[in-house]
Amino acid sequence: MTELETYGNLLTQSEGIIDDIQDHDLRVRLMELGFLKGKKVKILKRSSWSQSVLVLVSGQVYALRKEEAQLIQLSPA
Amino acid sequence: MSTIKLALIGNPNCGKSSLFNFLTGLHQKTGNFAGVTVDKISGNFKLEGLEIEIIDLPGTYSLHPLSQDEHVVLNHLINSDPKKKPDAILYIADSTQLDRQLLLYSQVRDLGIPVFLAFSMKDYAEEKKIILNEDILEKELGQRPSIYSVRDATSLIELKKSLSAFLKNKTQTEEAYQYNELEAKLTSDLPSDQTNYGRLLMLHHGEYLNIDESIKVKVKELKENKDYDGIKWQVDETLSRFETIEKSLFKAYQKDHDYLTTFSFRADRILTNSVWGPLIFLFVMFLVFQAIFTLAEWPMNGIDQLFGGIATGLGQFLPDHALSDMVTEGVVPGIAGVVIFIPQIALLFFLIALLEESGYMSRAVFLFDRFFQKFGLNGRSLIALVSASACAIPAVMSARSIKNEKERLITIFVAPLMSCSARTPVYIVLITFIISQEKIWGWISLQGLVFIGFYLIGLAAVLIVAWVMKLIFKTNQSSILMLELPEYKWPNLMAVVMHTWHKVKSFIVEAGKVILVISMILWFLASYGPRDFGMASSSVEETNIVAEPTELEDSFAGHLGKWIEPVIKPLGFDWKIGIALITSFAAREVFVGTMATIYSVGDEEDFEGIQAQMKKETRGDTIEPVYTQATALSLVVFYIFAMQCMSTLAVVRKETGGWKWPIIQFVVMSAMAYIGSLLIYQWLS
Repeated sequence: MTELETYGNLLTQSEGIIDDIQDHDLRVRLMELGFLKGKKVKILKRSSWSQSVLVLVSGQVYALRKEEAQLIQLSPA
Repeated sequence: MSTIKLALIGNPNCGKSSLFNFLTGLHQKTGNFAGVTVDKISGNFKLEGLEIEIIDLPGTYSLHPLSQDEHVVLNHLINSDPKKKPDAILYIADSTQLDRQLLLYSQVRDLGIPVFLAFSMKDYAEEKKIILNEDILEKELGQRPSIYSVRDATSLIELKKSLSAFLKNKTQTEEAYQYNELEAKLTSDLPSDQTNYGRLLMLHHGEYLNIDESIKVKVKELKENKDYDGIKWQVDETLSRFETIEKSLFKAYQKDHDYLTTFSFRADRILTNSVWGPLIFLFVMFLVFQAIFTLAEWPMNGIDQLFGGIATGLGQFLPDHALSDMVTEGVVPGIAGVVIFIPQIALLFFLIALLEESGYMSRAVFLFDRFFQKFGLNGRSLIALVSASACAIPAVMSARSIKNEKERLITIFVAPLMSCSARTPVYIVLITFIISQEKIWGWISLQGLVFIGFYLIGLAAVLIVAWVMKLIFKTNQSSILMLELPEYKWPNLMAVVMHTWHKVKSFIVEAGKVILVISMILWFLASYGPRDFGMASSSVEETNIVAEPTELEDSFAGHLGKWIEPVIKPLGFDWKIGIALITSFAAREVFVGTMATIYSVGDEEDFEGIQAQMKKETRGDTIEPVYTQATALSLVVFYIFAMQCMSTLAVVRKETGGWKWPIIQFVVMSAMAYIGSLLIYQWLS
């Protein structure tokens, strides 16, 4: 495993650079929202009981479910 | 000169609707897109001699749709009917979000329809010190964007000027998208009246489009080709478009405002806090309902008196005839039954629209999403359930914003179980039979507590039924949140008012039609009996009929009440309550009026008079009172669960596209009501 793969995704890390988005039906939509390779992301809020996250990317905030956030692979900022 | 068809397109929250309101003013029409429950809002306006019909398409992120309203946008741009195709597109992008919102622009440009480009929120962009060089952008994009703010009149006049100049020439942009070879190969057989990109979209999403069946079959075949790789092609297309946009914006557009210093960021630390967030939301809802019930009271009283006056006035004016009675006792109170709810519904929609426009609602959706998901619902169901505690009709309509079909259906199904305002008068009449007016510790009203209990039973029923439905229904459609949280903004009042007006209008039309017919039928059932048609024994003297206080007993409604008495007896109800149950199927609040008629109390609003009469009521020839604690509780439980609202059923039919769901809903809720009442009564008596 390379260092990138072990770094994790948007659910396990609170910030990072987008490395890739997993192959999934929602991949195109996540890109359209601005989750593009090389962009910086930051978790603003991680709610323990709602298991959703608030994510900042390119000056825009999105609420993502756990399953959605997991698709976004990160590398260290 | 013929009318120009202009389509208004942009991302969600880009400020499209505000511009639409500015351009069309009050000349708006609402309707539905064929076959789907997506609001279709269109309007007309004149621009330097041009007649323009503009249609406000739902906000979408791209032409690769995920939801029903996004399909609508694609369908409007790509279909087989040349008459429906827009002549031009007015594309709106938020000035503060160009890097993302130009994606859809770059897609619609490739469809061979002339596109006019406008950037909204000029004022916010200036506030955020965003640098936007129009000259460079004009060179890069091949057209000059019109930059405006709805708060800046000069910029709007400029926008209108450039728009009319554009519509007179309608310069078309060249298609820019570069295909890969396989894309070109697979789309070569698709209709040639589309651009290359149009054909590619047909290939990707043909199954959702209104195109000829033969083309759909063709598309299906092509997709089975081993070379077809939909997701990858869409990913590549999106990437390549973003690359081009980034290049175009490189010198022309700079934003480096730090979100972490904004008001929205600081406000959200409290408003989306796991503890404070939900509490604040509940408090906001408490304020909303306080506002609805206190502010709506006086217009409602006014409407009540007005229609009372109209009925009396017409009664004196119209000739003494059965048809006149139908008007004064059936039609007028029927219309009144719809109009009386307008103040509450309008206020509710107004306040919810305010919360939505300000950006707060999307925070609430985020907070409650997980909770509702456990019950097969969606964060957005929250808005529907909040609405339902005033009236189920707007609630059912608001479920449109839920993208997942299963979650939308469950929301529509359970919303009428929330205790709506029409149940309140029923609860008020019955509560004295259930619990005394005592106060605990001198200030907490027992009746008030029990009252809250009724609402909580309704809420519990919502969650339980939703959960059961979640287990029953299977769906392949994925449920998504991916919700944009826009920065907090002052709501645009015009947009809020227009939104409220569209909703209220559709309530009047939808509910009005049904209530009118049903109230006429009920009037007939309550005013006429078999005797009027010579069907009953003639032993009763004709002259006594008019004077008889229990006229209702001899009516069809009375007979129906007696006919169902054996069925409702185990619930503790007699035939008189039976009549009230039957008439209540039009609308619950009719219960109080029916009680007043049955017990011959003059004024309908006189709760104490009705209660006094009900206390005296005994069972048959015995001295056993009818309204014991058991009967009253059983009756309340019945009203909590039963689907006694024709208007809601009518709206559910419209929103689900058939009678299947309203019928299931009716059966399930009636069964819950019957079983609930039966258990309560048998247990208590």
